Amino acid sequence: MPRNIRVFRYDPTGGDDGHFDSFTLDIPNETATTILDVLLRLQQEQDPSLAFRFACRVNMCGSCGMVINGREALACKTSVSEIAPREEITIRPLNHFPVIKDLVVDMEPFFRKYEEVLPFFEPKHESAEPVQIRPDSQERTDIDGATECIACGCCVSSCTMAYHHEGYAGPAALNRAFTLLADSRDGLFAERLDRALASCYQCRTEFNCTEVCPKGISPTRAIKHIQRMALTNLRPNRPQPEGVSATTVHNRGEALNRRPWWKRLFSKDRQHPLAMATAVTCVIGIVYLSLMGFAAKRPYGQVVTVPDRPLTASETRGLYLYTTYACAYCHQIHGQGGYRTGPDLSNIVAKRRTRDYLVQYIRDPQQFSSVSVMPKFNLPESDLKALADFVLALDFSKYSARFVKREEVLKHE
Amino acid sequence: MNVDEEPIEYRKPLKWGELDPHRTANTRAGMWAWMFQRASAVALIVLVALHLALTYNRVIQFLLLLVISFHAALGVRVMLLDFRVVSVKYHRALIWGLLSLGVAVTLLIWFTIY
Repeated sequence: MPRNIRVFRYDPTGGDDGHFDSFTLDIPNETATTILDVLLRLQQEQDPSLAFRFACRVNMCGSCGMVINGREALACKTSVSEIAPREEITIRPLNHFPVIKDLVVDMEPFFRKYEEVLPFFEPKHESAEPVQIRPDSQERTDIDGATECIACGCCVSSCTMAYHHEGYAGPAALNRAFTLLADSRDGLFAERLDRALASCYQCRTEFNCTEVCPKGISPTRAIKHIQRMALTNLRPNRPQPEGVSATTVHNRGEALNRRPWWKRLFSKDRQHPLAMATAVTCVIGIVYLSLMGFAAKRPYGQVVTVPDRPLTASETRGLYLYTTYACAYCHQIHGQGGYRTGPDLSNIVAKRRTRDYLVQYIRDPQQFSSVSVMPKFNLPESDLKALADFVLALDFSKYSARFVKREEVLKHE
Repeated sequence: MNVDEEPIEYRKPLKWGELDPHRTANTRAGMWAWMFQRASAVALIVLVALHLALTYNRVIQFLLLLVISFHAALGVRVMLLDFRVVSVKYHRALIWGLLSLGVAVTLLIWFTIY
């Protein structure tokens, strides 16, 4: 069955910023044909200038990573049959890497960032005997398949944060750092953790890397693991490296630590965002609660908010009862008054409660809500109706607000 | 002309989604969750401002409650994953589960407690 194939083309000598070329290829057995086979056939049969990279053909070397129909994958692992029969096959080079020609990208940025997290093993102690780590140990099960990474770059290409944060090491490098950090034999734990952490907080938990990894690794899981390691290995408690060679590497974390905290707080290189966020939240919380405390000390019920219209006799009686029984202790009116233990009474108007409902509610609130802390007001029926009328009069969507002093209310009765 | 003397001119890196007709189809659940949480944060700022100006407007009250629960549900998802309370394997289930819980809590507050 013939398939339409669009391949990204970029010729460094052409002066063009890249474009797609369309090809048509008859593919007899789609299940047994990979995208790499398609590219090889296109190169052999239709355009010998088509450039792409591959080596092992069996998902082991990670050379043929590319974006196939919007998804990063290895060309040698993706079967044509995985793409719906009527759908066009679109092949692009990986994102976030400079394009050398057609589908071939320069992986230098990938390996530069890879090196930033010290991707090599440096033993803590020299030992003539092999160290035994049981396959069922927590350490080994935590690392799990993360060591299977073939550095194909698919995860970095799929990660939107790799583009937005220049200093972000990216999923592959952090996954590599994790495999070493979780290894109890690691002699570079403190330095590696500092370096990995500087990058870890750029991850936005999008899971794009996990979705596309051809080896089924979850770099997101690795990144979360490193973040949790930071919690259990706070800087002063971190083990110091014991004179190993990599200590000559410039230690950015230590340099940062020498700066005063107020400079570190607003620095782009801040090292402990989680701890810093907790501290800032605590400070804001303390300030907020203090302000609320002061606010609660204000005298309440000295002024009552009423609608700016003449009140009926019943409503006036209700206003008097509201003031006498200190309803303002718990209920504000239109955001003015005392505490906010109960709902704002003008809000009750918005809920369209009836007069009968309010009468019964004021008489016995627990009848309607068993968790209500409002006391029962066993008043004469006329007073309860007057209170309900007053509450229902507090409709500030129709009338503007007017303020009445407490003394005036009590004087008029 | 000796080719070796001419530096090869690389094309600047392609951005995620650039020249990609499959961009929307391949934006997967985790990325939508992240984007919606950011969008709801902006919506929250607008709604809180509106709520301060129009405190007793029922529509704004409800929308504020709904967006808070939406934003919180997605935030709780990240925290559960951060602290390994739930395995990253179930991150998609967490999105739908917690969003449903958020809507349920919103309706519960709106119709019973509030």
